[in-house]
Amino acid sequence: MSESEYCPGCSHSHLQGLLREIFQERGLTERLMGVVGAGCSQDLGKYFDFPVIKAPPGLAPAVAAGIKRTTPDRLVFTYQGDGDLGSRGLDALIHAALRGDSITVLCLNNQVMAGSGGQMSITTRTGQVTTSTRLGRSTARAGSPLKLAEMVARLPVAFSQRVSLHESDFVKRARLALRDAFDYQENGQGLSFVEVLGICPPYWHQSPEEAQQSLKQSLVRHNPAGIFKGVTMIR
Amino acid sequence: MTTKSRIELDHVTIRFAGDSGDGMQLTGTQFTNTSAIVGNDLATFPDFPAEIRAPAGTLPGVSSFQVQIGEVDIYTPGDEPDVLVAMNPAALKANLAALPKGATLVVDESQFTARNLDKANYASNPLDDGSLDGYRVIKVDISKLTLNALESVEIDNRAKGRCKNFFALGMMYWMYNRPMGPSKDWIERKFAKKPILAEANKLAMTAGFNYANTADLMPSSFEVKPASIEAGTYRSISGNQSLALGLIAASRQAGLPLFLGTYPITPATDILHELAKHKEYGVITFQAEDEIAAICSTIGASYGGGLGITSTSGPGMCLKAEAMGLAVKTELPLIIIDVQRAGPSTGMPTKTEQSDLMLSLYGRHGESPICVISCSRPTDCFDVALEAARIAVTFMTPVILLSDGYIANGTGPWKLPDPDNLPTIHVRRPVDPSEFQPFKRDEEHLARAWAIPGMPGFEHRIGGIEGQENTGNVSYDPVNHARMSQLRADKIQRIAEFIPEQSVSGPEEGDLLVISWGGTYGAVYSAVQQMQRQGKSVAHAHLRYLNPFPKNLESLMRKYKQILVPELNMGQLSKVLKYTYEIPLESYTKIQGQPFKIRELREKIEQMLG
Repeated sequence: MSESEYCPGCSHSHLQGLLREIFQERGLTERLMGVVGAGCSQDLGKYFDFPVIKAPPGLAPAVAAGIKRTTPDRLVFTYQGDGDLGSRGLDALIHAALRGDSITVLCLNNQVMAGSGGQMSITTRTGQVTTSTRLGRSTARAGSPLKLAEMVARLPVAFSQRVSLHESDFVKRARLALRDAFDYQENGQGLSFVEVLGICPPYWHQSPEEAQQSLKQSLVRHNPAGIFKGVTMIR
Repeated sequence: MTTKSRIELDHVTIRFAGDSGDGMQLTGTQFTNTSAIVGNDLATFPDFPAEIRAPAGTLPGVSSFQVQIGEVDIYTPGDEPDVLVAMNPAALKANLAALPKGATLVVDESQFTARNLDKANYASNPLDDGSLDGYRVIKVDISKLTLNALESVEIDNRAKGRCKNFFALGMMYWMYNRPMGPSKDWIERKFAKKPILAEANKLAMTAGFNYANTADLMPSSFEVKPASIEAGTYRSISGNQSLALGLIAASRQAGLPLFLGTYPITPATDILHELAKHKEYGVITFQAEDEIAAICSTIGASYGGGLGITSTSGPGMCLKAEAMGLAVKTELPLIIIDVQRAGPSTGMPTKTEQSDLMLSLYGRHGESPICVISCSRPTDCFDVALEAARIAVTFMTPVILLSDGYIANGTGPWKLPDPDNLPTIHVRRPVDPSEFQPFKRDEEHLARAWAIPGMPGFEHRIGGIEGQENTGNVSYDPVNHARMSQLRADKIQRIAEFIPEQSVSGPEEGDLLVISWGGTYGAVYSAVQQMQRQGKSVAHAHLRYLNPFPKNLESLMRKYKQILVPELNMGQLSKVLKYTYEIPLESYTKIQGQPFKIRELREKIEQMLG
């Protein structure tokens, strides 16, 4: 394990910290297997001791389905960004959901393709400036953003929830959601999905503090937190 | 006032190295642009980590920028730096091996703290332990002097610290007698909304300049006179920018709207960034959901009558293969740009390689011939883009244009072409509806005429299933399939009749011919030149056209006793040449993600000449 190499304020560090706590408190580390995609998510393996394989861009759910079928006792999860999962990856995700693969799909949605230099992703907000939408994303030219958790909830999955990391109350709920997602997998109930809203200060061209404020606003207006499929397990 | 001496040099190579967060790419670019304004010939080599943000001060986080400037023809960024500017211990450690003894080393002494030395895995301080003996070491407290110079500026110390790269730049400006004006102008534009930062960076640069002028550390400055290059208006341009502008020029010369369908991938993405800035020329950029959709949108754009272009790098090329087959079968013009990087898979995204040649030539199912051409240096990309468009439109075929990371990010001085002298690209449309057949060919090019939707009387369908000759109607006739396969192959071979014969630099026959392609041009050309100056019988042929080869290539090769093919892969062109012409040749390869050094090539040539 090495020192975090993510940019200051990056939500990957934050989310990975939460995952580490959950894995440790529930004793999951021995049984985990991770699949990462392209972009900033692909560094996951540097910070954890369980096996991690990188998939071609977007195709982590397909790789995870193969792992799960050969090693059903493992807890298999994908760790992807919105640029990875929402581009070429959409069909792999949809088909994994349709097959009822008991895997957990985690998506850190920071609304930009950070790993390749800050281009528009499928969740980039209308009006957001990226390196490929210099005047702000225009619906007329570049289409509309996708609401991932809502879309996944319409598929035959076990669980779909959107959480955010911008305030401590939300972080508490995020922690529960991540635990629930792995519980659904333990019970073999099908695919569990958690969309985690996060920030990317360098490519939002903001300080981490400003970015958290932007996230708070975008959360309310565009991507409400909530459970769209399944229930929170009572503990 | 200066009493220091000034020494004239005909060329010099400088490498700026520091942490990724130190702004070394920016510093190098500023030095380069100012040198271009002064009139030097130059070539650059930015080398930076792909890691998102390696920890500050560590070896993986080191970023460097090398530039060679001169008054003589400069074809490479230089084998070895004459001067290394190292902003921290990690930058010194990562770059010292590249530095020849006797070279000058400028280090930021204030960064050589116990903590930073530890991060760079130094057991003792190299500034004190004698490990730098044999170098001319100039120790400067750059960080501290920058803070001192900005004492009166009301920004915090962290923001002040970020100005240290301009202090170092100022020192280099004094050392090589460059004006600070262009960088001052740039700073003012860059920080127009934050004048206090503009002020701070200008002060830091001036302080560095003045420090170098007065301190005893630097006894003399150097003069690199302007190069005697052809008169004209020049600008510094990167390979990807040059390619993008060439595509815009091609669109204008063909009278077709430019459509770029692409998906972000290093090191090709700058083509999208550059083209997205030029909507005023009717440029349409389309960021698709993946490389497959990118090329498919491009096929649609071509079918609709646009100049369809898709840009990517190796992993994306693999994904586009199926759609390339469709473009071959439907005989639509398409430009497929592959900015090659080290593979396989993710490989080393920011490092260069020439390993997609075989993929470009053969990486599709079925008999699926495609024209392949390549760029040789950043400024050449403009012309190659025009040539790709000319071939694609004239022969109604996809054309693969191979660039690489070294060309894409490197820069050179580019003479602005006269728009009136650019070649015209002729689009051949069918004229008589009563005789129209979608796949009827003209005898000269074996190409079909380009009918587009909306031309009354020329309505037609095209598809992927094998079609009958001329009509294109679905056909499983065995003889027709053989005939069509041959025709598609012959059409690509026919291109050889419409491209220049291969030229050589050097004797037209002799002991050794060195054949290269792509981004190795500068290093190979320079090595051959140096050997020629020693009286050796060596010539250089640099191939732009890789499929088909120029008609005279075989006869040319047979005029030399030996042939050497240096490449940044495991011998792809040499294999193709060997089986195409059944001619003995020697392959020389390097696959380290780094360009050739002139010295390596010279040694290989010397060894072959005995």
